[in-house]
Amino acid sequence: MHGTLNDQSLIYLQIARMLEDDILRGVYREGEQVPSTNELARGYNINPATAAKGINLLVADGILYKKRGIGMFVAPGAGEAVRNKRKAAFYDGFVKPLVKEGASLALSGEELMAMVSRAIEEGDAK
Amino acid sequence: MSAEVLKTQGLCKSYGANQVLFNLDLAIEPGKIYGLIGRNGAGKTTLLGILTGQNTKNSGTVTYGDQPVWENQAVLDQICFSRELQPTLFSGPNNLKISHYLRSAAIYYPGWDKEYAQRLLEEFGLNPKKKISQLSKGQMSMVTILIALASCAPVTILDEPAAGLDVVMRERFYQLLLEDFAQTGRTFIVSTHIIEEAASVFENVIILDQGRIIENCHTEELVDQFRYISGREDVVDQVCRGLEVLSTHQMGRHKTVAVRGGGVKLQNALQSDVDVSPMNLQNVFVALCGHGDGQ
Amino acid sequence: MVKSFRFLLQFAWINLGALLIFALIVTVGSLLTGVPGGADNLFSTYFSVFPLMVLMILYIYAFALCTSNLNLALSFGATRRGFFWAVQGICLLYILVGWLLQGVLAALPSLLNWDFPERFPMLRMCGFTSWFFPLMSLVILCLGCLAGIIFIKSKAAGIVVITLSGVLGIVGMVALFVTSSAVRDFGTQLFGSLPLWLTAGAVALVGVSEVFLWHTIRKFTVK
Repeated sequence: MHGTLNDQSLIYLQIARMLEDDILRGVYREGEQVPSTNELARGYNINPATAAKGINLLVADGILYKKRGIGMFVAPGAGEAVRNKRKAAFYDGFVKPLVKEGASLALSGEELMAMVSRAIEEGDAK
Repeated sequence: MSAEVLKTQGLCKSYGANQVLFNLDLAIEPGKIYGLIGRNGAGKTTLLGILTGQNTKNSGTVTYGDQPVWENQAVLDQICFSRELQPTLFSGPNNLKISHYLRSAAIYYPGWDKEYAQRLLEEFGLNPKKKISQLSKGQMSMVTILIALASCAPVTILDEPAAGLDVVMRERFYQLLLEDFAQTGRTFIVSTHIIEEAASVFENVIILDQGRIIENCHTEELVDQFRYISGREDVVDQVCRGLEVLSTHQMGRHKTVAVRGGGVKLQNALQSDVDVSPMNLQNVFVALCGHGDGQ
Repeated sequence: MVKSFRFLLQFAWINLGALLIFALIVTVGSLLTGVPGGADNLFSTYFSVFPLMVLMILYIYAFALCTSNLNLALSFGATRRGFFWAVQGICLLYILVGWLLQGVLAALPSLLNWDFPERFPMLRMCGFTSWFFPLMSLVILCLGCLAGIIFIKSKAAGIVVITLSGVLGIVGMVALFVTSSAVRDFGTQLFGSLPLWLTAGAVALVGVSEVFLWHTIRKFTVK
């Protein structure tokens, strides 16, 4: 079972992203252990080296750390680190495509802003 | 002998006047799962046969840890080449029983794990008393897989193991392969037609096209070099200037191209009004080896 | 070589068992149908040509020895060299068992005081007293292996070798019966005039076929 993996981006990036999402959602809290390379590989039917690459990416970003002989753990401040990382990518990943799509629909800047404001209000109302 | 590099240099093979392998250089590093993909007749089985000393070559060297492979029992003990089983042997149906195959495997493979073989036999629901000629294609594939896994050889090669298996059994095969790899870290080379399913299993991929190795690298790194760019034809053409175009597909003014290239050139593409989407290994393979047929 | 020998032994012991059973049937059948007393029936015929039967059976066994077995052994990672020597070992086993069986059968008429022991000239020619039988077995086995492995490469060439083996076999048998008056002294005549050409011819034949076999196996590719 590849589970939620798709072919829209490289697998190791998806693994990293899924772990980050889980950290943000509180599935793994600071100081808790995350699945090992082999567990991830088994769970998603992927090569352990690919799973390891995803985990190493997070280690390099300071989101996970390794306890020798035991496994991988969520670093202190990981949640903050993930949010900062995503904020940096937010502009290129979400805002620019939004604007590009808006432009292709011939929406004006004001119409776009209005939609964004409305979405924020609806979000706050929940 | 710990795991070593299985290497060939300058490998050429011809059948009579017909050359099938052209000056191949290949090094199989230990501890990885390799995928060997190529179209029918590309030379996959021939290459694997030569790497394992089972077939002859015309020129070039084949070594394992710098020892020649040919007729070298010490090296051959480290390698298992599990080929597709034949329902017929030279003269008539293959009347060997599965138990015969297993006993022979136990004789030849020093690392043969009898319990592992028994577990797989039960899981696959195979009756050891049955003759090979009485098995379905899927069951023959299962025997191939069983022998490969239970051999516990440091370098294990499977030729089209998934042929004849239904999708559920294929998934189970990948699971078994990965479980074994996770436990033993032995080197696997799997040649297959069914590319996309197996892509996430292969750490490295070797693409053989018409007797030449056109790619041999890390799977995800390879795939990351390719993109589909689609949109209005004039915009697409402009964006693709400076990128290596592999294939083109056009419907009216809608044009989709498969390109190779990365970095800055691709960034520029993202600014324009085109869709840029990733390609998976199968797409990449077809783009590289399709040779424009069926366009 | 040991691995290939064990591998071939799996099939060889079944063949040897069949040979043993055949010998047993012929012997017991003969004993039960009055052959010792001079009866002339199916069993007495088979009893008298037993060595020839063994040679024919060994030819068939040898034919199958280097065909699919070789392919299978190589696909499991055997060396061609190891397989070649394992084949020699198996052939030796076949020769020894064949020799023992026909030797025992040859000794029976005199041991058990059968009537008219001269009914069985072929057995008297063989038995344990001369090298005739092992030599012929060796020739037959070599030709058989060679015929088998050539047959799978080229049916035409294979048929040629089979025919050749048959012709040689008949020629050898006829030559021996021509000199059957000297049968009793065969043991001392082994290096005499007529049988010398037979011995030399046999050894040469074995040498040539072994060389051919070695080269054919060396070039064999797994299908």
